[in-house]
Amino acid sequence: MPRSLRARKLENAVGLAVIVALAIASVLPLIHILYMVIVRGVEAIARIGLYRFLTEPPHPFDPQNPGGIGPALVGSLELSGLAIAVATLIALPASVLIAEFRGSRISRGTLLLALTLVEFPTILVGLTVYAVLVDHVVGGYNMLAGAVALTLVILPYMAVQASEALRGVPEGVREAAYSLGATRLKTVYALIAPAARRGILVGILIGLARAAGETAPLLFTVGGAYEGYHLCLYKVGGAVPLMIYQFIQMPYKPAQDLAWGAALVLMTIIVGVMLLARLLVKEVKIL
Amino acid sequence: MTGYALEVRDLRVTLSGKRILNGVSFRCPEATVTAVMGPSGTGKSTMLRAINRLLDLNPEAMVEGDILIHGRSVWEMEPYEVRRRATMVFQDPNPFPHMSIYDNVAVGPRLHGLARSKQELDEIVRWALERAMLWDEVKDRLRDPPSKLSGGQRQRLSLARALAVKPEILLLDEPTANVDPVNAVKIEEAIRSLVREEGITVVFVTHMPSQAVRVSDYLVFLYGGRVVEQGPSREVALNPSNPLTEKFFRGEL
Amino acid sequence: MSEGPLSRLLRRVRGVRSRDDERFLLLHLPASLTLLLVILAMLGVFIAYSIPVMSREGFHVFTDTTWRAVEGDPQAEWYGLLPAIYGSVYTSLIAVLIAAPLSVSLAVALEELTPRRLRGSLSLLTDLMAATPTIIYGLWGLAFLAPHMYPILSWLSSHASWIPLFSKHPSSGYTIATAGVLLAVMSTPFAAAVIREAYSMIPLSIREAAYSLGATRLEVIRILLGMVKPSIVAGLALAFARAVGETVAVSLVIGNSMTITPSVTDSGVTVSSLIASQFGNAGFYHYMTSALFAGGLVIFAIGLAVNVAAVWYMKKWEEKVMGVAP
Repeated sequence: MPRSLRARKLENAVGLAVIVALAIASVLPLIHILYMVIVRGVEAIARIGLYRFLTEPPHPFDPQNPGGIGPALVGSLELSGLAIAVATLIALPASVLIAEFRGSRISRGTLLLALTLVEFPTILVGLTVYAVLVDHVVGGYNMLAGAVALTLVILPYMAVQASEALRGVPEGVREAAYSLGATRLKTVYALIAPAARRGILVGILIGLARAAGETAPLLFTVGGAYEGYHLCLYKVGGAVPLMIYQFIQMPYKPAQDLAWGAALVLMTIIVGVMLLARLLVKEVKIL
Repeated sequence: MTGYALEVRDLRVTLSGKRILNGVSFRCPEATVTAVMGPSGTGKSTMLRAINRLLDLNPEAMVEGDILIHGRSVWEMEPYEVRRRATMVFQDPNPFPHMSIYDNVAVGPRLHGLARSKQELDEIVRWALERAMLWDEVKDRLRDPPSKLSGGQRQRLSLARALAVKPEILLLDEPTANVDPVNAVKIEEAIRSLVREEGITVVFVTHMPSQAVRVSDYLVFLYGGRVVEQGPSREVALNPSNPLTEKFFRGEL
Repeated sequence: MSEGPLSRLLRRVRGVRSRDDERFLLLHLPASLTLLLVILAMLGVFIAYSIPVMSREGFHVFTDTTWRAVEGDPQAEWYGLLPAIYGSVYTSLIAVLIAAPLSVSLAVALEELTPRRLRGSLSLLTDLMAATPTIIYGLWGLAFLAPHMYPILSWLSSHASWIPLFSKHPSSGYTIATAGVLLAVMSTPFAAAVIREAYSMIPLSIREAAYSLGATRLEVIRILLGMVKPSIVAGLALAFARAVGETVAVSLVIGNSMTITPSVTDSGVTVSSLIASQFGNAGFYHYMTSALFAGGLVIFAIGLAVNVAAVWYMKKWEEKVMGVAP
């Protein structure tokens, strides 16, 4: 059937309008989430003041003095810091292996392992670490188990990201580096890896954002204790996302307010890290 | 009717602030081949993209001057109409990789609703493939993806896809540049017969003087964004009036 | 220097040609082995921890609908995961069905319809959506989405209860539909990112070819979407697998009731939300921890199967259409 140009133009206009409308609809929730987190979070933090909110322990049942998220924040810093350090130490050599032995079976196998692990539900990582460290080694919830679980969650992502950054190093730079005649170890870590430092750093930053925001791996590992500062790795502790999860389910207003305040702190960290990553590279790959 | 299928009047094009074409004018009588020749980087491809308003897609492009298809300015038409009436074949073969050979040819007629029935569509597809001298080679495997074809066959498939929208003007951007000699000859033959038997008007861009003379009725020699010389092919080839044209024919540009 | 068996083995790796290379490879192997070890450990743990319940109930643990926890009497305990498995698949399917048009539109709008000046800030926004922790989505789902879904679902169930989807009158906003919508919101940016990556790789020549035939913008988009169809399927499949594994956000909005119902206006449960809500108490019972690990095994299997299928589908398409040799 001959289609008139007018009908096609109309179809074009309507179709494009629908696409734009659906695209807007898909980003609206995030905007509303940000709005809600800011409004409720500011309200909760303002009641006690930013400094006290960030440093004091919570009193979820005390409407007069709800306290803050100090211990959870310190716990989060401890867990994320450890996870990032250990994950980097393993992810970097793994990514070097993937990038340096391109085309070999061991390189493809390692990449496949990492890609598979990236897609693994984080709750499964948490359960595994529970079985090994909580159930068998330590015999109770502990911060070490949380740090290990977070490490395992971000490790594969960081390995994939770093290997992509290393692969992006121009062949000319690689050849020039090798032509200097140093050992391969020196060549790769002193010359080739620095050429990919921005990409690697972005991987670490996104890893940090994930480590700071993940809840499921901590559900069955760290226990969730917020009254005092628990830094010992073999004892229970807490973290900001886990605290949000537990406090929002309590039927008490102060507990829920604390959760919203904690959410604002968490989102601020995430946005800050994302902006930093964006300053380093144009395209941030968050998959 | 002016008798000209295509008229380009004082065409000036700027890409990202850089002047590419600086007042180009020429006319193509109906059912003829006009070869636009010139060294690489002289704005030939840009000119073709200006004619069928593909340059509209580039936000960095500024086009001035007028282009008339059968006496009507392209600026008065919808870009879709312009592109259907003056369709284009590109330097690199670019069939849609996810469509079968048949669907590649049928996609245009389907968009424009040129066929009233399956039979009519089949006929258009067959006609286009025959005209592109590809039918005999693919008639038994129309459902195959184009990746099974050779580079030259893929380019003829691109030609068939362009023909299937029943254009009045065919814009060819060095269609044989990346194709082996046997396929190049087939494409040249296909174009000659299209002009003779179907009355299509062809603008053929090439950087090879020998090919330009071989395929065309009229020659336009483009250099530095301007038309240096134009006229009937034989005349220009035998008696170039401009020393630059002579140099180009000698292969010194 | 003589070549030992280790050296011979290392030399078989492509790119290893000298003693220096051997040392280099040997030094990096542990990192790779760690990844292998993690996967094996996970598989081992889930199998080992599932054994108690499996040896008692057999495969009934996956197919039964009874969930009976009895303190102090292990013989009376019985755990059937079917409602949870059903809930995981059902909510994730709803999520993918909603996310499909949204993510395709988002990808197309960003790649095709956004002016270059805006593209940077908009893609920062979508990156942020993908990086936002799931607990934040859960918080929003709990405090905003669920209460606002309630009147809509009530209305649907009173006016369209003849449709099995809305047959049950909701008792609260914590329903299968709420979980599905929340999961859709969460997976849209992810699926859109997968689609965008493929869409942005379409060569200019193909795009020009589509326009040169006189196609309208929408028609060009349709042709190009046809070209990246495998990435759409793969992106949505991966989004499905992620939705199945999603824990905290879902557990906050689904209502956690062990029922199998076609009605999305009813509350439900998923495997991961069941684990999240029951794990803390599981220690009081003899078999419950094991049953929850068996549930983990199911997520494990679904995730792995979907991932493998998605990768396989992409590969096959590449071979067939793009002419890439196997």
